[in-house]
Amino acid sequence: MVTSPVRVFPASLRASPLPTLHAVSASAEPAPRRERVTGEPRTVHRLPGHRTQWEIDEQTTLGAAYVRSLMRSQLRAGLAAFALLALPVVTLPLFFAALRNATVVWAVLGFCCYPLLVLLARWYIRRAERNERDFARLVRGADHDGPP
Amino acid sequence: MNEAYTISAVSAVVLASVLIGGFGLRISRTTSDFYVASRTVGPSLNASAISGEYLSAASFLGVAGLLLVHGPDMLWYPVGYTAGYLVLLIFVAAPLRRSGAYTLPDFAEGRLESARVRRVVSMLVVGTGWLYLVPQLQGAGLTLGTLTGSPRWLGAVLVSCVVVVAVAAGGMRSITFVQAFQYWLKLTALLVPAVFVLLVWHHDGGAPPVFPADPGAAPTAAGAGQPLATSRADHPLYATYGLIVATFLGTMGLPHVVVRFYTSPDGRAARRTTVVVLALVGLFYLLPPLYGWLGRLYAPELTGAGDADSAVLLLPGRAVGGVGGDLLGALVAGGAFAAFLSTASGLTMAVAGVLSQDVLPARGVRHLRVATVPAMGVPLGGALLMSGMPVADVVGMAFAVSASAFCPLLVLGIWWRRLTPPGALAGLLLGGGLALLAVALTVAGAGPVRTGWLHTLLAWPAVWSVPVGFLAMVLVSLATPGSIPPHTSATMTRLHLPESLGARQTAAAAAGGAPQGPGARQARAGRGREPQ
Repeated sequence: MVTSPVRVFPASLRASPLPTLHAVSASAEPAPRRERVTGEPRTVHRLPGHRTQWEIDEQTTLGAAYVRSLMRSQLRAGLAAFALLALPVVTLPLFFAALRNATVVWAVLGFCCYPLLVLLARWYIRRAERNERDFARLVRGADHDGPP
Repeated sequence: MNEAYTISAVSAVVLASVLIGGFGLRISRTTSDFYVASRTVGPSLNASAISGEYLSAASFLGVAGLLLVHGPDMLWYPVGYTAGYLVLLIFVAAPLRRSGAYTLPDFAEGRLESARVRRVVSMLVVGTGWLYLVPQLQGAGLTLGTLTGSPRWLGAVLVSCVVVVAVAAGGMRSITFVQAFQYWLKLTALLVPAVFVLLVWHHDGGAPPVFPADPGAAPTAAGAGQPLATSRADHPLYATYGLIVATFLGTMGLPHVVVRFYTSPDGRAARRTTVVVLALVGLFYLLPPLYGWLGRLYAPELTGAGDADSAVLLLPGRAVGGVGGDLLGALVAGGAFAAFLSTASGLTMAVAGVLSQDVLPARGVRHLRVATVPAMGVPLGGALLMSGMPVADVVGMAFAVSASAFCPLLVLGIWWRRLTPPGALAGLLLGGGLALLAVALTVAGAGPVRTGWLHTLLAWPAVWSVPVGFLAMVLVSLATPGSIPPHTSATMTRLHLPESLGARQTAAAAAGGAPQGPGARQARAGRGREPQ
């Protein structure tokens, strides 16, 4: 957790040759509140892992955005699997009605479709769990050498 | 001779169920134990239990009967019952488990933060549960009547009493063990006779049975008791699509199916359990079509309304004959009773849970025991009053109501942030209410017309009522953007975040004492009672 306040100062101030560490006001004037600056925020583009977890826990806008991205990827996986299921199911009754061959109907609906349903379920599960793993890695920041 | 075998087989199944249930009674101590087995049931045991609970009279007797009468088009029933689990897995399984609610009303209240939505969902759950219980009891009466010549009400009363005692005594934990046992019993009870009948068929020359080329022309003896046969004959393609929509989308909302998902330890386990269920249910459904197919050969006269459902029971005796046939018939009867008992106990559990929490004032476990009596009494009355509807068709109607009311609520509630309580109410009342009305008119036979398009539309409502439910929910929600529940974002996080990441949040909430939903509240209440 970042405890001391970090402020990004204007470029002119940051460019000063003086070290910014311990730039505390020496005068007793109370009017302009000066802040202690502890260093350059060099890693501002990459948040530490626990920070992301905190964002989610505390329901911040950023946390909501993370959850939204997870929901979107999971919904995409679900819709893909549903489309793979719905497409043959919608066309098959028409196909059977046109074919008028009872043996084919017995074979397809009585036997062949069940292994396919299980395979589709396994494909979906693998995708959904991969989405969750990717998300967990993103939140925990486990791969520090990967792209942010 | 035949009757003695059947009676002893049925008695053995009933006794085994009660004994295994009693074994669970010693484990279940708290409210949490009682309702959802303290969420400690492993995936394989849970998958067997879910499959055991799901495979009802419609699967065991009804599918084969419909196939025998109407031919291979009816294979969409078992396919739909199975594929419904795939749709459930895709859209609902993991988030529903993560919602932390016990029942559909709990989910509705937790997600939409509205007591009114909860009340409407409760009423629809009770209605769907009762509609689904009626054919189970009818099937029990039919089985006992066919095999022993007893009056039709005896089987229904027997199953009701056993279920009320089992549920009131042990709750979900005992039901989990009982139902896991009953899945394997049902599979064996169909598999072993099927092998023998196939051997006989092979010995007889192996000629394939002849089905009428036009399935609509088949049910000559349909009569007044089978209103669905005429509508199916009139518009077979529409009926097929109605069946597909109802079963594919209805499974996720069935009260006894939903309650089972809370017994998984986490969302990931809920998902994996569903795949095992899909495999187990699919394995079972390879068998009933075989009975329908061979039934056409060995019992072709069973094309009447109530008689066709007994094809599975009579086939072993007809094909094998002698003492062997009697023994196989007794085995099938035992399996059929396992089917009635398991589905009926799961449904009674779910309906009684809703009744005790939302209709009667809640007072913990003892009150749930009281609620099992009306939960079972009403459908028993229904089963005694009405008869002659094919078992699988009545179950199909329960699926249609579930698909029209609960599928939009679950899918939109889980995936759409802009769902509002007024929108959910509109969808539930329009989709679910209209489907329930259409089904009631069809069952009562009091529809404005007994034939033609209107009758077909009422008998197979899912094709129009599911889109109506979805549309009403979406449109009214969009029109009332001001009433989006305040904690929607937090709820969505809870539904979709894997438990490994959300653990901190729940721990913090539990420490702070802030209830996250009715389910969480009850779970803590249950744990608080543990020392007793």
